[in-house]
This record gives sequence, C-alpha cells and structure tokens, in this order.
Amino acid sequence: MVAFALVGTLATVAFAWQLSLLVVAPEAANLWLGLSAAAVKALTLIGQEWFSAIAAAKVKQQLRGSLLKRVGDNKAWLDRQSSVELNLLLTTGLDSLDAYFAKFLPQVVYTALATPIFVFFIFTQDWLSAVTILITLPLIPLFMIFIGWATSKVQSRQLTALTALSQHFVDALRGLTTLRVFSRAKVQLEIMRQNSEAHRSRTMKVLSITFLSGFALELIASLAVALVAVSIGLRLIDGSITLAAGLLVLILAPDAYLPLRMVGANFHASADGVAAIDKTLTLLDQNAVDRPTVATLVAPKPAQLTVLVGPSGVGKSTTLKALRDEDCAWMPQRSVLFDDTVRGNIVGASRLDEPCFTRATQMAALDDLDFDLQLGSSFSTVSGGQQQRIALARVFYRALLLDSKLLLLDEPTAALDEDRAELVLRSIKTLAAEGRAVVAVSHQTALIASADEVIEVSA
Amino acid sequence: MKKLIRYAWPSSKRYSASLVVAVVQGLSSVALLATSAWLISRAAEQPPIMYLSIAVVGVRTFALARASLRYAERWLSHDSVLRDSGERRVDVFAKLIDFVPGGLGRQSAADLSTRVVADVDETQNLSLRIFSPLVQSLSVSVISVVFFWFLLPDAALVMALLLVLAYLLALPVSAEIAKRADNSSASDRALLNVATTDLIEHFELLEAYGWQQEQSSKLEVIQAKIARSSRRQAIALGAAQAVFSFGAAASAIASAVIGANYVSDGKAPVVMLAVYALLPLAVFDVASVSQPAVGAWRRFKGSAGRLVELTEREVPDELLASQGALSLEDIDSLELDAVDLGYPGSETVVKDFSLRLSKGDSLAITGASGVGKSTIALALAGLLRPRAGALKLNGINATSFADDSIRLKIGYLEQNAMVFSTTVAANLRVAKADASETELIQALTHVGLWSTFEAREGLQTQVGEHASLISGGEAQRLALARALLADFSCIILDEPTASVDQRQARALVSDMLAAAETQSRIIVLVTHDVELAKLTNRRIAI
Repeated sequence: MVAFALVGTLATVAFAWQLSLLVVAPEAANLWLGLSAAAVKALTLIGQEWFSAIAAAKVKQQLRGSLLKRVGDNKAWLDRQSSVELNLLLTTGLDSLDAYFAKFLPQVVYTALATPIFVFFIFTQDWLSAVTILITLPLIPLFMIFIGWATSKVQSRQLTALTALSQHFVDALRGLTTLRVFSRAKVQLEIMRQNSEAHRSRTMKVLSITFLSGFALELIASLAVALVAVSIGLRLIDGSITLAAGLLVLILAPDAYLPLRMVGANFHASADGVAAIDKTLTLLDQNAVDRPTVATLVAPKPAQLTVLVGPSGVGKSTTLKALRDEDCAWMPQRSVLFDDTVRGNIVGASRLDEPCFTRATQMAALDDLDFDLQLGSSFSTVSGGQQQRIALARVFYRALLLDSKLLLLDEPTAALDEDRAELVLRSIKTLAAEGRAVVAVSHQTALIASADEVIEVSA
Repeated sequence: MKKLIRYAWPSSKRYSASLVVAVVQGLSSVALLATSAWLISRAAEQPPIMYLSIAVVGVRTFALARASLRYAERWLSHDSVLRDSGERRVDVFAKLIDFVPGGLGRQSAADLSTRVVADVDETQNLSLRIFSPLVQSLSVSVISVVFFWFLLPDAALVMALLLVLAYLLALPVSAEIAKRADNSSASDRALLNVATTDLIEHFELLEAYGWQQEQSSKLEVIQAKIARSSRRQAIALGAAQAVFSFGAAASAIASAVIGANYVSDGKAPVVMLAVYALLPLAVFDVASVSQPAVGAWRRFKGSAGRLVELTEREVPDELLASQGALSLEDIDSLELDAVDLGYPGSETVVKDFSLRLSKGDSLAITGASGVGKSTIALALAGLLRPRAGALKLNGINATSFADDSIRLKIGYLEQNAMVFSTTVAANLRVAKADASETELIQALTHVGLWSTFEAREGLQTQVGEHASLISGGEAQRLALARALLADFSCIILDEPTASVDQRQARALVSDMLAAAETQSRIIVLVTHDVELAKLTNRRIAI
C-alpha cells in the first residue's frame, strides 16, 4: 500500500515536471519521460484499488470470524444478543465496512504520504506557494469538523424523521389488507402525500447545511489554486521565479489538495462502517453471564412418555433444554428450516441411511412433500404444518440413526391437523415403547391424555 | 429502457436548471486552470501589471463559480428528486391496494414492502448519479473540444480521440464490473446471508445435532468466493481510473508538442503554450465523473424495472373489486352459490362449493392445512371473486354492490393481522376514526385486554415495531378488538388464535361469539382446531 502510494505520488510529480519542461523548452526526452511517468501512475491506481480490496476482505473475514467464534464458544452470550441485530451486523453491517476499509482508510494513508511529498516539491520550486498551501490545507479538516459539528444535531434529528417516514411507509404496506378491510386505504394515501411533502421541505433545509461542507472543500481548494496562480504571476513579472517552476507549482497545487478532499468525500460514506465496527467491538467485549436454569427437576424414565404442562412463559422449554445430553434427539418449539432440500433438512450433516430416512418420514406423516423440493429462504413454499412435520422427521431420523436413549419434543403437534397429529402421536408412543425415554412439552389434550406421566411445571 | 427512464424522469423544471448549472460548473473548472496557465505564461513575459488584471479577476471568478455552482446544482437536483419520490411512493401504494390480500401469493407482505421501499429510493439515482454526471461530463468534453479546435485544431483532434477512447474503454469496463457485481456477488452475498442466518438463528439446533462445523465451513467457502470477486472488481475499477488518468497525461503531452510546433511555425503565440498543455488535464478531470454512472444505471434498471412492472400489472379477474351501484345497508344472508375458487395464476382449489349463512349464524370451517379454508374465507369476505358461481348478499350477486359499501359491512381478519407500530388507541381507530375512549375501552374489555393495558399506559400504550412491545397473543386480541369495534354485520376470522395457547384461545373465541351475538352478527371462524369449532352454532369440515 505504502509502496503504491509512494510510487504513484513520485510519478505524479515526475509527470508535472516533464510537462512544465515540455512547455518551456521542449525536448524529445521530456515527451517519453512524461509518458512513462503517466503510465506508472496509471498502474499504481490499479494497484491501490486491488490492495485496498484485499485488505478490506481480510478485515471483514477476521471480524466475522471472531464474532462467529464467540457464538460458538459461548451460548449464554448468544442468548443475550438479539439474533436479528447480530445477523444484520454480520451481513449488511460488515458490508458497510467496505467503504471504510476499501476507500476511507487507504485514502487516509495515501494522503498522509502524498500531501507532504507534493508540498515538499512545491517548496523546492517556490517556498511562498508551499507556505500558502500549508496554511490553507488545515482549513479543510477544520471546516469539515466545524460544519459537521454544526449539522450533526440537525442531521441526527433528520435521520430519525427519515427512519420514521420509511417505517411508516413499510408499516402501511404491510398492513395494506387491514387498511383495505377497514376502508382506510384512501385516507392513508392522503396522509402519505402530506408526509412526503413535509419530509421534503425538512430534508431540503438540512441538505442546505450539509452541502455547505462540500462547498467549503471545493471553495478552499479552488481559491487556494487561484491564490497560488495569481501570486506566481505577480512574482514572474519581477522575475523572482522562473516560468518552469511556476508551471510545475500550478500543476501540482490541485494534486496537493486532492487527497485531503477525497478523505472528506469518503468520510461520510464510511460513517456506517465506523458504526458497524463500533458495534462489533462492543458486542465482542460483552462478557456473558450464565442464565439461571429453572429448578423444576424432571427425571426422564426409559420407555415412558412424560409430558410437561403449564401456562406459557413458566419455563417448560428451558426445562426441556436442560435435559439435553450429547446423543439425545431434541426438537425445539419453533420449527427450524435450513436453506436446503427437504431431505437435506432432515439428514443435515449426518450420514444418509435410507431405511432410517423412510421410517422417520413415515412416522412424521411427511406424506405430501417431494423430498427434493428446495426450501427457499423465507420457506413460504411449505405450510406451518409441513414445517413442523419436517422438524419431526429430523428429530425422528436422529433418534433412529443414533439409537438415542432420550427424545425431547417441544410442542410437537401444535400445528398439525387432527389426523396427522394422531399418526405422529402413535409414532411417539412407538419410539417410547422401543425403550426410549420421551419427554414432550405440550398444550394438546390428545398428547397429554396418552402420557405415562404428566408433570406440571410451575415458576 | 425508454420506459424506465420515462418512469423515473424528474418532473420538475428545477432538474433541467440543475443540469445547466452542472455544465457551467464543469466549464468553470476547465476555465480556472486554463486562465491560470495563461496568467502565468503572460506574466513570464513581464508586461505591465495592468495587462494581467483581467486574468486575475477571471481566475478568482472561476474559482468562486466552481464551488458555488456545485452547491446550487446539488440543491436543485435533490429538491426535484425528493418531490418525485414522494409521489412515487403514493403511486405504488395506490396500485397495491387492489392486489391485497389475494394477489401477493405466498410472498410475504414484509418482503414485498421492504423491496418496494428500497426500489423507490433507488429510482432517485437516475437523476442524481446517472444523468447529471453523464450530461456534465459529455457536455464539458464536447464544448471544450470545440473551443480547443479554434485554438489548436490538431491538438483538439487528439484530445477528442483520446476522450472517445477513454469513454469507450472505461465505461464498458465499469459496466462489466457492475454486471459481475450483480450476477455473481449478489447471489453469493445472498448465500452468505442465508448461511449466516442459519448459523446464528439455529445455533442451538446445529449444536444439539453436532452440525455446526459443517455450517461454519460452508460459510468460509462463500466468503472466500466473495473476496475473490471483489478483488477482480477492484482491479477493473482501478483500470477504469487508470484509463482516464493516462488519457489526460497523453493528451496534455500531445498538446504541448503540437503547440510547440505551431509556435515555431509562427502560427500560435508562445504565451498560449501553457494553456494548450494544461487544458486537457482539466477536461479529463471533469470527464472522469461519468465513471460511476454506468454501475448506478445497472442498479437503477433492476429497481425501476420492478416498479414499472408493478404499476403496469393488470388486476387479475379474481381480484377485481365489485363496481355495482347498489349500496349494502345490512346483511340478512350471505351465500356462496356453487363457486369454484382459486388464487390468480394458480389452479382452482375449491370446486362447486355452496354455503348459506343468515343473520345470527356462527359457523366454524375446519379441515387439514392446504384444503382451501382460507380461500373460502376470502371469497366470503368479497375479497376473492369466484371463477364460477357467485357470492350473494341478501340474495343479490355481490358484483351489483359498490365495493366501498361491502367493505363497511363485511369484516375480515387475516392470519397474523397487522398491528401498526403506534398506540393502542390509534390501532383501534383504524376501524372507527371517531370512536370515543369509552368505546375503545369497551372493545378492549370484550377481548379481555383492557386490564393488561390499563396497568401500562392505558390507550396510549405503544405496541412497538412489529408489535414487539406486546405479546403475540395480545397483538391477536388487539386485532380482534379492532374488528369488533367497526360496525360490521359479518366478521370472517382466519385462524384468529394462531399464537394463543389453547386455554386462552377458547376463552377468547367464546367471549367474541358472545359479543357478536348481542349484535346479531354473522361470524365465520376458520380454524384447524376442532375443539374451538365446538363453540360455534354451525360447523363444516372441508
């Protein structure tokens, strides 16, 4: 990175030098030297982009890796994070780092290297111009900080308003059926129209200030160039500077400002990325606290169906999870589906054993799905009942394949129709009769009625 | 392409003004460097200072113009774009009204709405990121070449050639990057998202089944693939920049050399040499702003294409609203007469089905999943037109009534009905805008919810985004209370107790039936739960 920046900067200077020589006293050598310098500079541009992309990908992979390792090492930590937020951070959040690592940081490095070199070369030709640039350069970050500070409050208020506006729009779209049923859709249209107009005039007020920072950057850079040009012109008249030196300074002056202007331009784009890093580091820092487990003691008995009952929120699922051991077959309450085929969802990373698979799917009443059907990410292709039966087939398959001694089922029949619920219930009884200890959480009367033991879980 | 541009084209005159300003701004940049170069060359000839004063003023003016015109251009273009995107939102919303609830298929409303919102935002880029930079860069290039032609025809020709070459090389390269970014990495990114979601959300299951190692390595493979493609994109992006950078240098050197020949032939003044050499640098600088436009076009095309498709989509027969003239005052009978039912574009689910309900009836429809219970519910609500047969209200075909009047009398509660992210009161007033507080409290009491909210902030309790501040059962009851509040003569409930446990569901349904009976309403309850079905006075199994 440093090498690319260094070579690129020196090539820029060399080109400017050859071009000014070419104007003052043309020689064939200047032509070829100038073209070569330009070619080197063009190549370093490619190199810089390439290197920045590698660096950004590496950092992202590391951050993602350590977050995921955290997830793997510490379940209690995962419990305390919102999975939606974590997921967003690991995907789009980390992608927003691209602007930071692939654009902003390389630009900062480039600026730190290139600007002093440009100023140094200008200094060797004309110290007064170098001083002019040195005085005006710091104005760029200064103005940016000043304007940023002045607008941050307005902007964050505006951001809130903007989020509210699009939230309102999303909400209205999601609730469109409700609005139509209650004859409110047309009223909503009118409200939306008014909101948009109010939003526009507010946004424009904020933008008028936000654009000021861009205006300041441009103004400082172009006025400084004007200042340098006029000052060189006046000193050329009394002969205190040569034309070649003056031209070199004039060509290099915009280059001296460009890196810092680009930092400014990339700074806003990288704000999301900075927020994402912040969040990631905060998440990584949080130490996990073990969640207290529910005290209700349940002892699974071989060849018996035990059903845990009790009002929702009392800790039945937690009790069930506490019973898990390495070889047990457990089915969580919410049906979990992966982005895979139906068969892939049932077998997972375990080995495929056809007889076990056939028996498991029959026991789970999975009679209405093609096993090669690909389940999309939103799983809208299968109904709630089908999802539950896939989860049942998965847990049965594991129990059969590993010959698990313990089968744990959380609300196994809640989404099933009567006939299939009955079939699944018979399967559960069969698995228990083969000697397994089966523990289920359920609200369903049929399941409770066929239990060998019913345990009331209380807080 | 024409269609997409017409769709997203800014309607305001301010936008055309912003384009003019952009071109003048670009020309100011070129003029700033050219005037500066002239000033220095002329000064080197050591004339009296007054000969330079016009150039000094010019340099300062162009410097100021470059910065302030940029500000004006951004202000004008953003203002016009914001006006339009507000309108576009309203249009999309108005269009979608006809398609709910039957027309979205199984595509979730959440997915659709997120996409539509993002698409509408993306259409702003036609003006801001595509058209403005292209117009600025092309116009400044052309005007500068023409101007240069009068100074130094040969050098102008070289500059024109190099500019054309740069556009031809760099723009297709950018287009190719954008295409690859879309095709490969968008799908890889989607894969990565899915794999990450699977890993995090289902971590417990993966661990319990010993599958997490496989899932992690799957993730690593996708990441490596994404990193490879972003490296390739970076190289292409750098190459596009390199083309403009080298083009500028080559053009400047060519102009200097050609200029020197003209000067030695006595065809050009020596003072202009610096101008010839520096002018191309400034022109290429402005020309290079066109680069990102191509990538932006690709993203725009996708979004605008989806929106145009949506606005042009015709309402399918099954979803056409009644357009009759009759006004529905009350419902004495509701009847499906030998109907065939199906969603637009898919096969008929229910064939030759008949059902008749009279005032005071409560009916439960039960059956296995997928047999068409929800389809019948929609047809009864007048939200899905039968393919054969008819929905009859008071013995008259429903199509003879005005849709607005049907909506006022027949209520429909979808599975997982929407609760808006606002207060309890505002959610209820969706049903009846002028309901008094007493009425609201009464409706909440009917569904056993008032005591819960009274303990919090009463009617002003916030329900949160996606009803996250209240439980699933509470959200369901709130939606029920809303349906009871409106003066519907008939209410159709599709699985109203999906996220409530059995004991609560029973209490809820019997409360509701009691409340409805006093007003002699017709109630239709669709459920997979046979126990609940025992509470109504009529039942059918599909």
